[in-house]
Amino acid sequence: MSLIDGRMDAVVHLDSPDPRGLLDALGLLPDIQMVGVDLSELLAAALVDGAADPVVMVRITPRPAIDRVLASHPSPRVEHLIAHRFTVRGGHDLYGRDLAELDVVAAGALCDRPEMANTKGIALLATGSAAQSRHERDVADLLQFAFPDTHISIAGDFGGLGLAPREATVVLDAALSGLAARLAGTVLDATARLPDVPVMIGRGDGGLTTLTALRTHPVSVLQSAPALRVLAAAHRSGHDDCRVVLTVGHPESDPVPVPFIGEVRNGLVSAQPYLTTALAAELVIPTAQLAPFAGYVDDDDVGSTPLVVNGDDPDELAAAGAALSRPAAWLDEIAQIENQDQLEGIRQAACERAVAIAIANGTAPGTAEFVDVSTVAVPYSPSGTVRLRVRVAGRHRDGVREQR
Amino acid sequence: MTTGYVGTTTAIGAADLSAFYEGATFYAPAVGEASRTTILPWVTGLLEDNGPVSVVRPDNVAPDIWAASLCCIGSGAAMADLPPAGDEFMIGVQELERTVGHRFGALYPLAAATVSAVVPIAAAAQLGVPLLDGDGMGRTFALMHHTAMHLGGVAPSPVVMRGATGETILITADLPYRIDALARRSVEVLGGWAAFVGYPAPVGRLRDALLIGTVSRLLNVGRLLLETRDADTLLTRLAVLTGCRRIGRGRIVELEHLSRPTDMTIPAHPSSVILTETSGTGRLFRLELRSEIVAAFADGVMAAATPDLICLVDVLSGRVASLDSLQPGTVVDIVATPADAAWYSPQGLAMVGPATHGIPLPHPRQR
Repeated sequence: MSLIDGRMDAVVHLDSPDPRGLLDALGLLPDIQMVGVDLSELLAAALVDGAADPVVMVRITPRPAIDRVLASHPSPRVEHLIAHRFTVRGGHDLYGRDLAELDVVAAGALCDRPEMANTKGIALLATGSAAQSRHERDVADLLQFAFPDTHISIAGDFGGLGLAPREATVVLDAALSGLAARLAGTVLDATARLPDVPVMIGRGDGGLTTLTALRTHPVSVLQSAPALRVLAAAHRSGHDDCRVVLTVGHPESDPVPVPFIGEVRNGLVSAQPYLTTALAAELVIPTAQLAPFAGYVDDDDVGSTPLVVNGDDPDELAAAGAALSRPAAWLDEIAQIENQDQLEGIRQAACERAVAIAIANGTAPGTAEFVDVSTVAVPYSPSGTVRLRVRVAGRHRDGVREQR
Repeated sequence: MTTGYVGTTTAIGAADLSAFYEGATFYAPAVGEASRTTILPWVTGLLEDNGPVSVVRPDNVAPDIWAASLCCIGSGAAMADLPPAGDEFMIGVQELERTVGHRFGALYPLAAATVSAVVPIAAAAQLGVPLLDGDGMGRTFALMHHTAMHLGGVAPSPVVMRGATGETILITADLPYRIDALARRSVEVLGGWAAFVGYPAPVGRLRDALLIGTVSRLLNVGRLLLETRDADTLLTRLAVLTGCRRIGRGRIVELEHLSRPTDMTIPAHPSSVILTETSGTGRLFRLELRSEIVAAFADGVMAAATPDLICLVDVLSGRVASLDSLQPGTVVDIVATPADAAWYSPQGLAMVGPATHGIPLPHPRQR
């Protein structure tokens, strides 16, 4: 864990996440405005080494899969985190229309299943819940009443499309909830001497979020390290818009082997959802868009965008990125339009929701900027179906201290 | 009709499927990755359990053997969110067998492209029948009667659609375009996509109607796509195999919607993508979309149009960019690949040429 003083590359590099070491280090630096922390390596390691909580997965679909592969998650590393699986009849289509009535009796019967006893994480996923999460919430209410101390992750909270990436997202979220809560407490302890300094956590898309978001949606923090490294390398080169090649990395946790290439636009790392992560599973949350570096260096290839090659220490770069980054938010929704005016209205409403999420993620009100706003027609869907994506970033809030 | 290909495939096994899917994505880039994570492992598992599926040229099948075509009708996004339970395509085939009174001794893709190229393999593996090395489109077109079978006089009716909801719809209609009109409405009720089984016919009738070799072609193209992630190398090699050419390299600057007059017969509304060329003379590119890219203009001049297959290759990743995930700022190569010759005939162009998408300009090949 390291600290940076504003935009200066004054880096304190510690060998372990020991809070006492961090406390000492904080005392050395004057005028700290924000502490940025990258936790993704710790969380990713927990998913592999067994420190994450086993998860009970509940799918809500019109009918259960009859094929063994379709009944499980395609990534063995995600499936490995699932202790037990259940399917309850229900679900909606992409537009939120009912496909099957929720089987409330079957959902209620889950509370009496012996497999549910002592579970720490439950993942709920209903088809179409990005548009209509009523069935997920109804089942969550039943289960939360029966298991009040259990963390329940709901796929509808993350939006996106695709049962497999949505399931991976919600399973990882539930599996990491216990560890994330402990880490959040550790970070608060470590920064207790700085009551007026906001503490921000790196996100998978290279933005920042709050400790509260770390507790509630820890999956959003995964894969932040490579994104923050790309950001820091761009910053050190003095470019807000450039391609970045990293030649040194972490083979065990990087999504692609080094050397890999990423891109920074408008001071933010290019990110996309549905990218394969180091866990061999696609997630609906955005992560940095990285590709093996194929060796092309002609600036004309990508419109004279500068190419930066960086071989700095990856941990130091990630920490630098955490201190340089900004709170961010991402929205990915399906909507129906009939004319340009309606499109404008829907786009405006999505932008407002994205700003609200950004503020919840620690952005100071009034500072949010729209980094990307795009709407694309959804192929082979009814006319007027569009997919909206909004990416927002802003300056972090001053003087807000989150509590345990 | 014969189409160009390199190497004939005699079987598709589990180890071939990644390359096959990659090739299928090239021939219909619209749908993208959404269904890959579910469909690919499912069909791979079926091939592991049941063994490889034989691929046979129609000439090598007895003419009185009946065959049916399969595809996914509807939205790939809907299928990704509501994946098959596993029996939809198999049950669809069995229902159609009962309707026409013949067992199907072979299956074939309605469109050898995107996930629709892969699902016939699943059904063939489940039912233990071979796959014909041919299809009806050689890419994807928007409507179910935009097929070489239709041009060759093979009727789509009767048709069975089976949804992931477990519900089945049977459609019979004398007029081919009515099949699409009826099916499209039903798909929405079934959750946005359905298994589609139709064009039942003896193989003897299909020999002269199918585009031959298009299943093998997907494997060849897919293997090439998996070999390199460098866009320049990729396009050079693809050109040898497919005859594709790069129209230009540009950065996406704008996505527009409802940019042309719309009608309700074709899924998805017209939209446009504007790009500025990143090198050379700095041309302005305009892509017209309607589920697929239907035309590409460079400085206002039509450079390619449907039935040409127009796709985008992401320069950063060296992969085909799906049309449902385009973003301003992304740098892409605009690539045009000739379609099968049948589509450039007067009848073919009348069915799927640019005028059918509200672009009343002659196809570049007609100029």
